Amino acid sequence: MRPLIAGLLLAALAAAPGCQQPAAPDALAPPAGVRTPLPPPSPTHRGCAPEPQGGPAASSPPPPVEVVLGPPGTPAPVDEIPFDHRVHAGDCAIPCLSCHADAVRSPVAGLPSGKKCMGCHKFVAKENPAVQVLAARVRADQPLRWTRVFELPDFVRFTHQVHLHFQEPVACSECHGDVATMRTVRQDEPFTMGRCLTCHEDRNVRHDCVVCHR
Amino acid sequence: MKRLGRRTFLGSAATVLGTSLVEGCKSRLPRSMVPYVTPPDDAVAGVARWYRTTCRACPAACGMTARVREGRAVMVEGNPEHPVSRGGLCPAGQASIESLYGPGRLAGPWAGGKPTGWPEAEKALAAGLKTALDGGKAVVVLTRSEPGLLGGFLTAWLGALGQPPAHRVAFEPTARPWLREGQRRALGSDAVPVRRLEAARLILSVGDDFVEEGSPVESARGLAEQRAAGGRSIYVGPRLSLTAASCDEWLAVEPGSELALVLGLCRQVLQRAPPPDLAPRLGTALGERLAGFDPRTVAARTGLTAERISGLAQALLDHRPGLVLGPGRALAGSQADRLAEAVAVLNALLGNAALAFLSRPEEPPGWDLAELARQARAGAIGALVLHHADPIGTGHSSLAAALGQIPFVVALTTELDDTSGRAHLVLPDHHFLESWGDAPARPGVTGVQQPVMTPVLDTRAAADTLLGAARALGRTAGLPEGSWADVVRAAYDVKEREHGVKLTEAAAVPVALAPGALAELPGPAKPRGPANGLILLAMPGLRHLDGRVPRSALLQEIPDPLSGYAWTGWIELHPSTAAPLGVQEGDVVALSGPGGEVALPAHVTAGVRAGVAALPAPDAARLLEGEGPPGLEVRVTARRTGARKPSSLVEGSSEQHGRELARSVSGAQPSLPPRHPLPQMYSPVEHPEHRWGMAVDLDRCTGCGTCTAACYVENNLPVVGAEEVQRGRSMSWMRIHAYLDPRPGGVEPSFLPLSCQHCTNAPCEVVCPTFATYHTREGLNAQIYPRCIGTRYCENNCPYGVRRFNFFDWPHHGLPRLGLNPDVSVRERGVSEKCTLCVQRVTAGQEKAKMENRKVRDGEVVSACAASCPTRAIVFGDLHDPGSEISGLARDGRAYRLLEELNTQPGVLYLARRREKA
Amino acid sequence: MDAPDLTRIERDMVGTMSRTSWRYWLGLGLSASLVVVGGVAWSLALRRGLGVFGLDEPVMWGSLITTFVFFIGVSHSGTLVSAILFFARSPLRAAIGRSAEAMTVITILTAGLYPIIHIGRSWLFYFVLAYPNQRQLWPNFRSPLTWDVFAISSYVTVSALFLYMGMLPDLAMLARRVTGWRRPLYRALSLGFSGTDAEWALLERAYPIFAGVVIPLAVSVHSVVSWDFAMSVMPGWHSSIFAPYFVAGAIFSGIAMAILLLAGLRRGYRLERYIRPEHFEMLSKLLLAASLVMTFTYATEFFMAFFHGSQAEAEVFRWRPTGTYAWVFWLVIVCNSVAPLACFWGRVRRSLPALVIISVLVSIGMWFERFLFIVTTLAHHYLPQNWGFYRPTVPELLICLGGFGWFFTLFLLFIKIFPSISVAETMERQHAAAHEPGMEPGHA
Repeated sequence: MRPLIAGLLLAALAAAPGCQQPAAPDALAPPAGVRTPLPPPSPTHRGCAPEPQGGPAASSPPPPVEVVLGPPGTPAPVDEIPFDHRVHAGDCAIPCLSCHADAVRSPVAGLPSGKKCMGCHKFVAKENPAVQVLAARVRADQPLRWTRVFELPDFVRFTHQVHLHFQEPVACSECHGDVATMRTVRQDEPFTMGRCLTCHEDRNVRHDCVVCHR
Repeated sequence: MKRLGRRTFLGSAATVLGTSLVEGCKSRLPRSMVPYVTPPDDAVAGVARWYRTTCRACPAACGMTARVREGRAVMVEGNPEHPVSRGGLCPAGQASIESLYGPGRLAGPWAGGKPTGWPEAEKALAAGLKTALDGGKAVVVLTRSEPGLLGGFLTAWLGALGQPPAHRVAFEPTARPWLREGQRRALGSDAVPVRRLEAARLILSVGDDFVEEGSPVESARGLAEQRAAGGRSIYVGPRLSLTAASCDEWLAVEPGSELALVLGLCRQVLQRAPPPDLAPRLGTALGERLAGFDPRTVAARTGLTAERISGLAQALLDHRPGLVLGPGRALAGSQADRLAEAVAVLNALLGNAALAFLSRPEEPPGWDLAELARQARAGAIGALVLHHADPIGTGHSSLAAALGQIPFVVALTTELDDTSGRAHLVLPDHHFLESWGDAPARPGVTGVQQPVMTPVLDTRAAADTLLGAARALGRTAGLPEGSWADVVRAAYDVKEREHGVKLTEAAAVPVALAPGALAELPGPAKPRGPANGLILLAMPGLRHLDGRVPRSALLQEIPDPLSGYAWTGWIELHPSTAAPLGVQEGDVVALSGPGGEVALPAHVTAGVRAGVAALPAPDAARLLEGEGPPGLEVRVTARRTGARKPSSLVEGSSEQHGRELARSVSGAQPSLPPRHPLPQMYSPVEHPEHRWGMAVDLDRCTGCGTCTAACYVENNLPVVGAEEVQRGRSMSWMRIHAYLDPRPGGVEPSFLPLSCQHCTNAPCEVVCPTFATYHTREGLNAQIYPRCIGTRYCENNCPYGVRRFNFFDWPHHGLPRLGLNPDVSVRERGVSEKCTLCVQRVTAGQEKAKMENRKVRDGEVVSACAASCPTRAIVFGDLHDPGSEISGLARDGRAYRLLEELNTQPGVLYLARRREKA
Repeated sequence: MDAPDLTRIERDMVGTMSRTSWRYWLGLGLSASLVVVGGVAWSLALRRGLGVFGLDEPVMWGSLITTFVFFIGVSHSGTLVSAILFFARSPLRAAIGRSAEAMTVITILTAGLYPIIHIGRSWLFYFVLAYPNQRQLWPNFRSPLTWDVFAISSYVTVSALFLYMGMLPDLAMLARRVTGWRRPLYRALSLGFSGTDAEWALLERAYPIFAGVVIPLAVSVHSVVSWDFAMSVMPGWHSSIFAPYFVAGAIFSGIAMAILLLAGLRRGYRLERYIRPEHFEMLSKLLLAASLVMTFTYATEFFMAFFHGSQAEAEVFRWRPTGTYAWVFWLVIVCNSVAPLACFWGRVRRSLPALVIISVLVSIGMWFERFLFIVTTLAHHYLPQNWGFYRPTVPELLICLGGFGWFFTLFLLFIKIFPSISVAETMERQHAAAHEPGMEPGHA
């Protein structure tokens, strides 16, 4: 066993350069990130329709939102807007695909554009400070940056389009969990190859290596 | 200090181990996502879009299609709708992705050697021009050949500044002015000759390397179709160039005697079958002028036998329509005009049937470089605007002094070069993939340029910069109102922009032999040249069009197929020339010429005439005082330096040793003998749906290397640099093997584009201990990088030697991150890789078909190499589908597989080259 | 000559472990430092990539695999020889059996390092092991490399057990004799062996079984290693003679190594009484025989290459003696085929210095022989334009040296911790010699 152990130890030390994922091509360079001190969303009010008149929110108007421009390319440690999936996917029961619309026509699900958000928020929850930040950003033609939660290594290729194309499409929640119950989306169980394989076998679809690995 | 105890040691070891693992396995993917604010109506993240535009890497102006992902161009291919390039591209065109993101690009304006902002730069430009104009000095624009809208705009701009059109100096290092001059003398016409190679039954190229210069993509395609139709082709010249190797025959006549040969042919054609429309008086006149060039004299001069020459003349007469081409840049020099004239006459005597003469659009008379230099030295020039022109870097070093005399030089370009490096003000221009414009490929065919992406860097369209300056000076008479984009948009409608080309009717011009044709001729005797020394031959090439392209790491990395040299120039010497110098293959030889000395490794080959030293044009230029191409007058002396710098092929052999790798068929035996399937103990492999494969037609391949370049760009292949390539660690998935087999009376060249053969019984698959490589049910030999541990057993067991190993984490200097293809993973060090048959394209095609609930159509999926091949020598398709093009080729009598005796049953098949000899 | 009495034997044997000369420390220091140097070289390769080696297209295996095959080869003689001698009831066994078996185990442990070092991603070497995983991936059982894993691991296991069982009585004896830290160690290892007749009977019955299992294993393992090459399609590799050829080569190089180690032992510990010239003479005869077999194999290879008419095959064998690596070829011929012929002379066979020189030559020759057929085939196969060249770099050679350092370090530690000559068997022989007149000690 001696050589194996020796190999293991040195190998582990070498793993540092070893198992890096190679760099993936970058998206467009992000513009000036915007920092906004925000009041926490009031627990009483997380409905998607405007609060009925006389409600607590109406009586106490939210503080004016001041928009601070940061240096360009500042990475966003947290989302710049406390987006709440419970409200959108949960209370309002907006289907995933109406915002992540690319999923049916592209490998990536994509994020809704600022304009698309404003499509609803022109009318809905206008007074919500977060929404006002959004509005300000869209007016200034500056995109928001969102923290990445789900990611696959560079050597795995996954395409949403095909997975949504079967007679009985794969439900988003099968991989992404029930986001309708999450304040901020989190990855409950990791994307392991075993997970992909079991599903592929259950559905009796191709699962030889080249399907996902290039 | 506390001594290291066992516990301490184990503890620290564990810590190191743990942290290193954690560190190492962190993902390097971008941690945040940025959605659009306003989505472009046609863009879907993760879905590629294709935009037509026009390639400006060289004046040929081929049609181009750019593949754009997430707003970034990641791949280029030809434009099949372009009637000149017909979907083909060349290595330089492929390298445009590299030049787009290249590290050498200017990120912003520079003034006085320091980066500055646009507002200041614009002020400086206006001021500089103002001083020049106020001082009554001339403002001159030195540009590359700009026959399109931009040319007109520049003239108008000069006009607005009160300058005559002559102040627009067009400089094109690859131009061949002698062709026009010769035609003017022979036919008295200035029309643009369109050479229809495919229409000719016999092509006689007199030193014209037409698959490497001029409009290579067009000519290569023409030659391929001419060969397919059973045409013959003969190359006359001192060197076995790619073109010569692609022709049926190479006649290595005495260098400098090409003119005598052509005139001798003219004489015989005139004697045997004078064209009916030839005026009798002119006929007799020509007869007298050519009297001196009887076969015997010409034979003595050229070194060919008299029979050979008359046979050649007869062949020209028998195989009409014939087409005589030349001379190319290899034969430039004082004789070039005469040679071009003689060629034009010979064509006319043969009836000009494979030529079309189109009326030449009028061009403003511009100064030439000499005039520019003279004016500059006289101090008449107050301001010079450089626009994508680098004469100093391309063999006109003498201009440097003159440039120093000009008080204000401003450069509008993308990268600094030897000329723009001397500018006082540098205003970066968009890359052509980012800019609007147009480029006529020939009268009647205009390529339209549209930006395929937003600029990566802080650059501006040159025209807009100049417009801005003119407006700042208040001199806008005759200048367009809006921006340059508006000008181009106005000139071409949406349809033309979408198709990337505008077709118009070009008037044909009738031509006939001029009375003064061949009026003054040199005697048939050998001219008195400096006897001693070697004849200097500057070879044109696709990898170094004019000395501008070698700044591309990608093109440097791809070795020259015939010599095997990459990242360096080389000197070709005939063994009989090398022997007295004591020079072996790979010895560094110093050549000294009138302009200086260059030391380059020698390539000793029978592919060059004795007494000639051939080297790439850019290196040859350094041997001269720097006045354009040398021609065959210049003599250089060679000397062995003692150093060695062999190519990576030095251990390899350029002969096939009778192994029948690149096979050929003859007119007598048009198909290969059938092979009986070999017995095998394993049950045959099943391919239920598809069996993807490639067919490579050796009869069409010209060894240009476009497939290699395309593969680099498509598959994120790393550029490993000079030293590693020399060691034989180039990562190229598609290589071009060139074999020169000795034959009685010369060598027989053959090209063999070699990629993974995707064997059905793949030796590499059996031996991989981890299943990192395996045979998919669609016939691909898949390589699974995350599973590969790098035993390299597969590479040892591949009889074709097409597998590559990642010895390091290679830097992708060729293609920085933005240019990488997001559909192909970047390989980690320690894994083996090879051609995947563009699996990403195959799957993409299949997914598309699946979405539309249909089967994949033939030709819908095309590998990168096949897509860019200018001659369509590579065909990709499904061998399983009997109706597909490739299945048809597989049934062809010329089809064979490489190393069939090993029973690997490759999915790549080759079609033997036709060798017609008469 | 006088037969040493039993107590003397015991004292001498224990002496090899208790007496520690400066030579020992010097040797240990040298070999240990070699290990360090090799480790540093490997860490360089791990940090920067295999590019620091001289490998390139098309030669993807070089000096590391050469050293791997070399050590596997060396390993084979040990246990094999010892087992054969056991069945032959040869007196030689008492003298050399133990160290030969130890050598086997240690060389395999050394050889096992090289495949791990030479792969591109050493940290993933466990992919070749068959273990259930959520990725549902298994090694490729058609790949000779996978066969290697199984063959070598089973061989090292059996050899280790063989060695251990043979050592049991000695360990028990030592547990009685020694003091200090060794005592509990030996007591634990001796598994309470107290030397009763019942225990001896059991041992006598079990031992031959292992000896019997080891012999076919030894043959199989090197055949499997040879299939790494023979199973390929490469000219010069794809040949059915490879298995016997490798086994012969293994025994050949193994005997040479055995001679070297014994000579060292004998000199270092004054064991002239136990390791006698006759023993060396027997070994040298074996060496000579093996050498002749090798020469025959070389000849056969060449004959077949030109006989069966494959163009590529013939070219490779034309190239070996004439091409870039001609000097290696001729070196191999001199060392492996010519030098051992000297053993035809009795005086050479009986002169230890001569035998040592020959053995050194053979060891060198066998290393280069592996280098020769690995590199020349890869450098010169089917497509002439792919033909290439390979030159090992310094890190590579340092790693090879490190392997030898590793081997000697372990061996020196072994002889210091365990009896390098079987005390029990030696006593047995002496006993027999004393009671049966006419039987000379150390004579079969």
